[in-house]
Amino acid sequence: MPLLGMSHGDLDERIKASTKELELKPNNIELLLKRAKLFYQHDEFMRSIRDYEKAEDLGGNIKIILEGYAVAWLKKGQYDFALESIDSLLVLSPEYHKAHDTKAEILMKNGAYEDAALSYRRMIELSHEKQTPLYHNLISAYDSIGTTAAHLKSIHVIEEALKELGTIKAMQIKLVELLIKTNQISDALAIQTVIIQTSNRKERAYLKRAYIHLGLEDSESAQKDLLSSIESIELLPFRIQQMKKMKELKAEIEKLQK
Amino acid sequence: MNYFNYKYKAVSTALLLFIYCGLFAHGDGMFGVIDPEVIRGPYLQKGTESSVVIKWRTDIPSGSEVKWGTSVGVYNNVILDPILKTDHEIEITGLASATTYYYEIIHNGIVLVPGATDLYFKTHPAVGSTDPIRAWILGDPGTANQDQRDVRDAYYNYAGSSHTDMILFLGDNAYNNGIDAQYQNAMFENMYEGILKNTIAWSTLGNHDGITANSSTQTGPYYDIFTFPKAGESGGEPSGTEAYYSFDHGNVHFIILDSNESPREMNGAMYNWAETDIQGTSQKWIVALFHHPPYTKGSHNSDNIADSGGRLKDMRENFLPLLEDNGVDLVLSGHSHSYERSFFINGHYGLSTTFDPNTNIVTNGNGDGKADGDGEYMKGSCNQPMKEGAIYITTGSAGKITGNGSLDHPSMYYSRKDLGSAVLEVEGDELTVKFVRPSGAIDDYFTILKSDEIIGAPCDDGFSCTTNDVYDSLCDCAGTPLDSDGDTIDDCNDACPLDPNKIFPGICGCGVPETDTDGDGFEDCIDNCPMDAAKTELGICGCGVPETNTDSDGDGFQDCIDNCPTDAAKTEPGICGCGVSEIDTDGDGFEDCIDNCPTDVTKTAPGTCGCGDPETDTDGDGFPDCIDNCPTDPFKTNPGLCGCGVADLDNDGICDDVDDCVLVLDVDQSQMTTGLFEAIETVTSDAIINSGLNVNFSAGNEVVLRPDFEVKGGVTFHAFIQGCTN
Repeated sequence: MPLLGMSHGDLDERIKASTKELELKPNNIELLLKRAKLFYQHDEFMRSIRDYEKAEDLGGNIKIILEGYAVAWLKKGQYDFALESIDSLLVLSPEYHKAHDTKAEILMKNGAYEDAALSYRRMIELSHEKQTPLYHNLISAYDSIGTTAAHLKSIHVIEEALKELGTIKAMQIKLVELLIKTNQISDALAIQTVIIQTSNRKERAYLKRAYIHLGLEDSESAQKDLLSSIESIELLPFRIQQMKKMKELKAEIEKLQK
Repeated sequence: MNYFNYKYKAVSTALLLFIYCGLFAHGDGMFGVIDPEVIRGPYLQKGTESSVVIKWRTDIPSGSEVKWGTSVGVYNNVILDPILKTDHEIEITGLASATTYYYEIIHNGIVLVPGATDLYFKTHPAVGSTDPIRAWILGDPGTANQDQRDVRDAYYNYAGSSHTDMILFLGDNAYNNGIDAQYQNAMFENMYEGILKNTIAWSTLGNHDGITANSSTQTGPYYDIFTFPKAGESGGEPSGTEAYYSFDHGNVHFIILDSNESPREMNGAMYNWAETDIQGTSQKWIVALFHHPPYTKGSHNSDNIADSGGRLKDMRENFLPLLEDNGVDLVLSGHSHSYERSFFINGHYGLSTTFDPNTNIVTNGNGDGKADGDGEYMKGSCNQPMKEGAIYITTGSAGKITGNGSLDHPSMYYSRKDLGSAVLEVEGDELTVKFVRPSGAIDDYFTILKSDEIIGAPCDDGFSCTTNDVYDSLCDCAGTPLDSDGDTIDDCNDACPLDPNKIFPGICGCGVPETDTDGDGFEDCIDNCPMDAAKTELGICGCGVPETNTDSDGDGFQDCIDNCPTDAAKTEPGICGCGVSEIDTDGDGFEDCIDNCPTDVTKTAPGTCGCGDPETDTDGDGFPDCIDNCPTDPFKTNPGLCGCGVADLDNDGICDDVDDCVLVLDVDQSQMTTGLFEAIETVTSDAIINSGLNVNFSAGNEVVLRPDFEVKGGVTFHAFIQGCTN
């Protein structure tokens, strides 16, 4: 159902305009595909699917139609239908990057994380220019599996990503988390130390390493890092020290110091 | 891609050009082939303190060559990529910060875009620098119509000849699908080409750009046209993608998020990057950009959780807490084709119905933010308890205005469906944004003031007993206590700050010691008889004298102050002493007690003549007249044989008035006549003897003629030493 009375950009007008055109040319495939996309953008997924069906019946571009089906069924939560459509599209266009992305999303929503990981891996393989989100999605799929084996795979992906993209701090932080989960503490400490060394602001990085030391019951090292964390905070401009997050961080550190 | 980046050297360049021409050139003169023509750009990308990217498009494949230098027409540096292509991208590195460089575009020795005063790029100032910054903000501009041009021209008029440091495109840069041809018309041709060649353009992905762009593969016109830092080249944390990134310019950290295609969930790739990025900057100002506005009631409605696929809601709920908690100052969005500008707010992440001005508008944030109105918004000030707050601007009307939204979001101070663009100007502690209409009118503006390092900043704690008042780590204004008198007790605890001997005023007050010299229990300061233990007041008798209350002579004066206690007529001995009157009967100034002639006003002693008879000595012979029988003859006191006034100098028994031979004769002018002037011993004269006289002087011992003595002609004068002749 359209969300009546809710502003949605100029989609309403554009749908009305397309509908008027279609009244004059009801079998115009291009107009049907255009309105199907507008319905999809307007969150009217079944209307979108119906326009795609009509376009299919009229012999419209099946690749566009299959993709339209897939994303609309995905939004409707009909993952089996969505998967069927996207698989059909991938048979026709096995290297269509966006189709793999949609398939991975369908599989993630449907809890098929291993398969989703394969799709995400395929996306990486197909990409000429590697991007952080590609690796992140793959890591998320492994995270969803949640086993140690999956974590180890995630670690491998992160190492691959860091090699490909350079220093991405969010990735390094994730790597430390996974190394701890897989009980590779010394490696975690080493990576965390690198994070400290390469950070412009170090207060959180020191705290993180303090937690690792505490996990190892090395309170002396932990206290040193807590102190370094406090010192890092005190080096910051006063306006940053006064921020809510920084006050919370300082309180957390001081609590640990006791 | 291998670029040859080197300082221009005539020999090596000539050699390279020779090889290049031989291999690739198809210049008109050499091979009869049409020279390439630049049909897009040049335009600037990915600025840093030491580098810039220059991009342009040619109609036919050509090499990519840029020459540059710090003066127009003097291009001492060159960079060349000989690979033939139509879309050119050259990165110039090794530049000085905050420096203007002029450039020109070359192909095969032919200048495709000649150098000019407006063909330049300016490198970023050093991070943290307080150099003034101006950014032109264009939200949803890409209509390629006259409205877009009108908005452009208004900004050009506003900016005049001043340099614009950057353009911030808020997405939907080319309608309707962001295809290359639409970009050509909405950005590069008859649109922004004049400013793009000397101003670095940054952008966030809009939904219309996203139709033909793929963020996960970084493909499509949007990603082809723009070159953004994904490895932290321009400052900030590396993002590993051009879909979202950050950069520093001066003292501003810009965070560009992709609200259209990249994952918007918390702990997604973009969120995690944004968290590390914003928590890694210590820049004074933080400005965030993304296309879908968190608050709008324009052509989109942020209360519709499904609007634009939930992107507005996602950004509001997931990213705003992250940005606000870490100090964002300004959030710029487009998408709604109107202009909406918020109050100074914090912590509003729900629907507009949940907006509570009391909690969501920060202290001092409910005014208009205008310096000449309710006053600027203050941030980070000790007078601003929350020390947080941000302004949200939805400015998506740089190309068109659409929709019938109510434009009444309660977070907004100003909402209008008007064409226009925004201008961001930052100078040190001041950040100002203006909304410029096509008419040139500035319908809305505001300023945020952010105090710098508060700790140590001067203030006034209101106490005069302190000096060097500054804000401390608790944001309290406190000064260093003074110790003005050096008594080791600071002035704040010293009630006598200028008296080194006292810290309390005591009985005597500051500056006066509490001494009790006579030990009578009354400090000297209040004891009028500090040396008299028996008295604290002078009384009648004065200090040191008891108040006996005795008046022996009954004259009304107590004996203690009566120096003649037994003389009723006197309280002081005076000249005459007690008991003796001070009367001066004759009024001669001498009391009778000391006047032996009390009734003779001319005398105080009887003298030779006695009281009442003056001691006059008329002839001055030392004998007063009263006993001088010759009172007018200084040589005699008795008449004697000759009588008063006549002597017998030669003592011959003949009075001088009848004695022609005197002992000594002084002849004066009155006496001078013809004759003999004789003396027993001496004749003396100073007279003038006039003609016709016959004069003779005769003396026994000497004749003395004084200097005035003179003898005129015709005179007979003789002087004899013989004594008297008779």
